[in-house]
Amino acid sequence: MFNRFKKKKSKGHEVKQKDVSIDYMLTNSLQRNIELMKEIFNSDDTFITRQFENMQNKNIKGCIFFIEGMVNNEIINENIIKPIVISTSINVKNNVIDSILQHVIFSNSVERTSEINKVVESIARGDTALFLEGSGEVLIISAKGWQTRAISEPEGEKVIRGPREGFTESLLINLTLLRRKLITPDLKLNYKVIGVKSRTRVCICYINGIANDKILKELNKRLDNIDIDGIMDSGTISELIKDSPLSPFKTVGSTERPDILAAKLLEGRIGVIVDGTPVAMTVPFVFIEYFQANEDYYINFYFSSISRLLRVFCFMLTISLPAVFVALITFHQEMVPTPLAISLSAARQIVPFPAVVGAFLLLIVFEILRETGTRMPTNLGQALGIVGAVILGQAAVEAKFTSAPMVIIVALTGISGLALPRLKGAVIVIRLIFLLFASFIGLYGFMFGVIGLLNHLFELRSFGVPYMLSLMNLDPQDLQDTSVRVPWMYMKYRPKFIALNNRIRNASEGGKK
Amino acid sequence: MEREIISTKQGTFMMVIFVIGSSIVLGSSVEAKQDIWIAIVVALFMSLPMLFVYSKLLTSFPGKNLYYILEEVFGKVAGKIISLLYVWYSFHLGALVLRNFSEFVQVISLPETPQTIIIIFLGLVCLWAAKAGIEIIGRWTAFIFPVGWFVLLITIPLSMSKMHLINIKPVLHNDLKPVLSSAFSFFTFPFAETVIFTTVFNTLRNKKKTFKVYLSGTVVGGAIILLLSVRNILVLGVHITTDLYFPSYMAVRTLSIGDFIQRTEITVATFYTIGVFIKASVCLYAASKGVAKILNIEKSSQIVAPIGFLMMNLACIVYSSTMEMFDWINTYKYYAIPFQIIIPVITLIIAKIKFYVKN
Amino acid sequence: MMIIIPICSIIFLLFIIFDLAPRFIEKQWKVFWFYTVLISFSFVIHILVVLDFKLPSPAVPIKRLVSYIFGLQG
Repeated sequence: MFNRFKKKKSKGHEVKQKDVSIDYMLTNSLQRNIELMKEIFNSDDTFITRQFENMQNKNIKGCIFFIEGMVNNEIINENIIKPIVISTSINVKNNVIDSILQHVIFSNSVERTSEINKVVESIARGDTALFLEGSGEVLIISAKGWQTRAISEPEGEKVIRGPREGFTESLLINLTLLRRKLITPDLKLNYKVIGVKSRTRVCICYINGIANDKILKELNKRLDNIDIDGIMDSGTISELIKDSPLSPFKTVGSTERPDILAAKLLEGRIGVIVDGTPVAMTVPFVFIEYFQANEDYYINFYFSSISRLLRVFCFMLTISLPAVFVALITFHQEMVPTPLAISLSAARQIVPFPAVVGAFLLLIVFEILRETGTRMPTNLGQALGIVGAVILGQAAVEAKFTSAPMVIIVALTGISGLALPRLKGAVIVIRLIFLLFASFIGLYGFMFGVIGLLNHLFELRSFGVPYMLSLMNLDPQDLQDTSVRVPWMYMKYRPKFIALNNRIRNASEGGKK
Repeated sequence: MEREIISTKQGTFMMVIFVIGSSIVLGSSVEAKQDIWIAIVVALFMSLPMLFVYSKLLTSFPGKNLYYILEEVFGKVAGKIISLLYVWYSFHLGALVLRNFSEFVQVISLPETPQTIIIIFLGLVCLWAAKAGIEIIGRWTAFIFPVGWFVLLITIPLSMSKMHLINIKPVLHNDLKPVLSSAFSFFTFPFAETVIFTTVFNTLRNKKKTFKVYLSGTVVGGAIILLLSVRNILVLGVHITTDLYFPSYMAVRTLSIGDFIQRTEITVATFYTIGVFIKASVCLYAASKGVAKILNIEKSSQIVAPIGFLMMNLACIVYSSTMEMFDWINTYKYYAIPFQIIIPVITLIIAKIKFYVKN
Repeated sequence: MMIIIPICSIIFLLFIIFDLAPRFIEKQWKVFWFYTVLISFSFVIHILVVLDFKLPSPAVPIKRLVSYIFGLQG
C-alpha cells in the first residue's frame, strides 16, 4: 500500500556549484587575479590572501589563497611559502609554474588547473591555491588541516567484545578505518557530491565481484536523483533513497562501526559513507538485520542465538502485548484462566475508562517518559525515575486511575521495546494500530493486524531485494543467520539475492578470491 | 514491473493452505457419519484425474493462464463469456469464504459484533494481499505454513487421551451410498476447487512441475483434512460431530492436559483465519486477473480494489442465516460441477484436437 | 452499528484518493470508469447492508437454477 506513494523520480541532474566562470576569467596578471578572487570571496573575512616574492628574482611573484582554520599552517609555511621565497633554482626561462611544481613545492598532492570554478571549490574545501605572476594557471596544493574528533567507541552501539573504534565526522578518516579492515584491491571507493549548497562528499564503497551490479546501479541512480540544498546527516539521504518512503520500516541500514560496515560489505552489501557524519549507510537492508548485532558474530553462538531469539520475542511482545491484553479482557474473558480472570476483573472494576483507553493513555505516558529521558540532561535522570515509577505508576493505581495489571502490561511492553532501539519508530505505530484493531473485534482484529503487517513486510523491497529475505522460504541454509546464528564454520554462503554471483564465502571451496 | 514468479515450494504450500483453508473448521459433509475417512480418501482419488486435467491444461499452454487458454480454444467471444463464468465462480467462492469466516467468528466468540465489520476487516487484508500480487501471497504461505501445520497437528497427539476408537466403528455400517455422496461433497469442496489455481499457476517458476505441485498440494491438504476429521470423530463421536457447525473447534476445546495446556482452540481459530485469508486472496486475485483479461487491462492490480469491495458486499448479503450457509453445501456440489469438471475437460479435449489438426 | 458508516466512508475515500485518482491522472479511462462504477455500486450496497435492508441474495436464484438443471427437489 505504501509503495503507491513512491515519489516521482525527478530528472537526473548534476549537482553543480554556482558557476563563476561566466563572470570571471583568470588572466596572466597576478594583480588582476588577486582582485578577481577577492571579489568572488567578498565579505568573507576568513578568506586569507598572502603575497610573496622570491628573494633573488623579484620577478617571481606569487600569492596563495586559503581559508583560515581549514588549513595546516605549518605545511603552508614550510612547504609552500618558504621554498618559493628562498629557492635559487627556479628556471625563469621556461615555464615558471612547471619549474615551481617540479623543483620547489614539497607536497604530495598538487593539481594544476586553469578553471576558475575548480579553484574556488578547492579553496572552499580547504585546499590552498597558488597563483603566480605571468601565468593563467593555478596550483592547487592540498594542505588541509582541521580539528577532528578522536576515534572513540560509538555510544549507540557499544559492545562487550569486539573492536572499539567508531566512525568520526571526517570522511577520510572513516575511509581509512574501513580500508584497514579490508585489505584488498577489490574494495572500491567512489566519490559523489550531493547537495547544491552543502556540496557534501559521499563515498560509495563495495567489494568488486561480491556486490550485486544491479543494486549498485540502482543506488547510483537514486543518489543522482537527489535534489536538495544540503545534507547534514546520512539520515536525510537514507530517507531520500528509501524504497517506500511512507513505510515505518527503514530499508536503508545504518551503522557507526567500521567492523559492521566491513562485514556487510563482505556479505555483498554496498556502503555509503557521508562526509560530516559518523553514521554510514548500508544497502540493501532487510528485516532480519534489525535483530542482528555485530557482537553476535564475535561471541559464543549459543549465547548469540539466545539473545537473538530474545530480541525477536521482545519484538513480538512489544507490538502485541497491549492489543492482546485489551482483546482478552474485553472480548474473550473465557480464554483467560478463571482465577486470573477474577483478579483481573476485580482490578478493573473500579477503573473509570474502558480498557483500550486506559492502555492507550498509559502507552502515551510511557512514550513521554522515554522521550523526556532522551532529551534532558543526564543528571535529572533520577528525578524522572522517581516521577515515572512512584507517581505515574503506584499513585495512579492507588488513585484508581488505572488498574495494576494494565501498568504491568504497559511497562513490559515498553521495556521489551527498548531491546530494539533501532525499531522504535515502527514499533510505536504498529502497536497502536494493533491496539485499535483489537479494540474493534478482539483477537481477530489483532490477527488481521498481524496479517496486514506481514503483508506489508512481504511486499516491501529494499533495492529490489525482498525485505523478508531468508525468512520467506525457510530453507535451513537461509536460516543460518536469522533468528539464530550457527557457528562460523557452517556459514559458508552469503545471503541470496544480495551477493548474486558469488555466494560462497570461503576461498577454499571454490569461491572467487 | 517484472513478471511474477512463485517457486514450486510456495505453490505447493499455497495449494495446501487453500485446500484446508475453510475445511479445517467446517464439518463439510455429514452423510457418511463415522465412515467420513473413507469418503475423504475416495474424494482424493476422485480428484486425481481432475488434477491431471488442470495441470495438463496449464502445461499445454506454458506461461498462460486459464483465461488466455479459454480465449485461445473457444475464440474471442465465447472465450470471454466462459472466462466471465470463471470470474464469477472465483468471485463467488471468495465471498463464500469470507462469509464462512464471519459466521464462524460470530457463532464462536463475538456474538454481538456485526458480521459486516469482520467481513470488512478480513476483506481489506485480502484486498491488500491480492493487490500486492501472487508473489506476496506465495511468500506468505511459505513463511506461515511450516509453523502452522505443526501447531495444527500437535493437537492430534495431545488429544490422544480423549479419543475412543469405538467412535469410528462399525465400518461401512450405513451402506456405501451415503459414503459416495459424501465423497462427492468432499470432491467439490475443497479438492476440485483447486481449479482456481489454473488462473494462477502460470506464474510457477518450474512449469514442468505443475502436476507435482497440484498432486502434492492436494494430497498433503487432503491428508491433513483426513487426520483432523478422524480426530473429530474419535474425540467427539459421530452424533456430536454431525450436530455441530464447527466440530474441529469443539474437538480441540475439550483438550486440556493438566492445568497447563488449555484453550488450545485459539490455534484452530488462528489457522482458520490464515487459511481463509489465503483462500480469499487467491480467489480475489483470480477474479481480478480474469476481469483484466476480459477488459484488456494491462495491470490487474489496478482493479483489485473495486472487485474486492464488491466481494465484501456479496459476502454480506449472500446468506441470511447460519442455517442457510450449511444448507448451501448441498447445492454447491452440483453448482460446482460445470466449473470444476465439465468446462476444463471440454477445453482440454478441444485444445488437444486443435493441436492434432495443426500438426 | 451506525459507527460502521463513517468507517466505511473513510475507507472508500482513502481508496478513491490513493487508488482511483492516479488512474485519472494517468488517463487510463477504461480502468477509471470500471473502478468508478464498481466502487460507487459497492458503496451504495454497503450503506444498504449497514442500514439493514434485506437485499436479495444471488444464492437463491442459483439454487433454483441448479435444482432445475439437475432435477433435484428442494
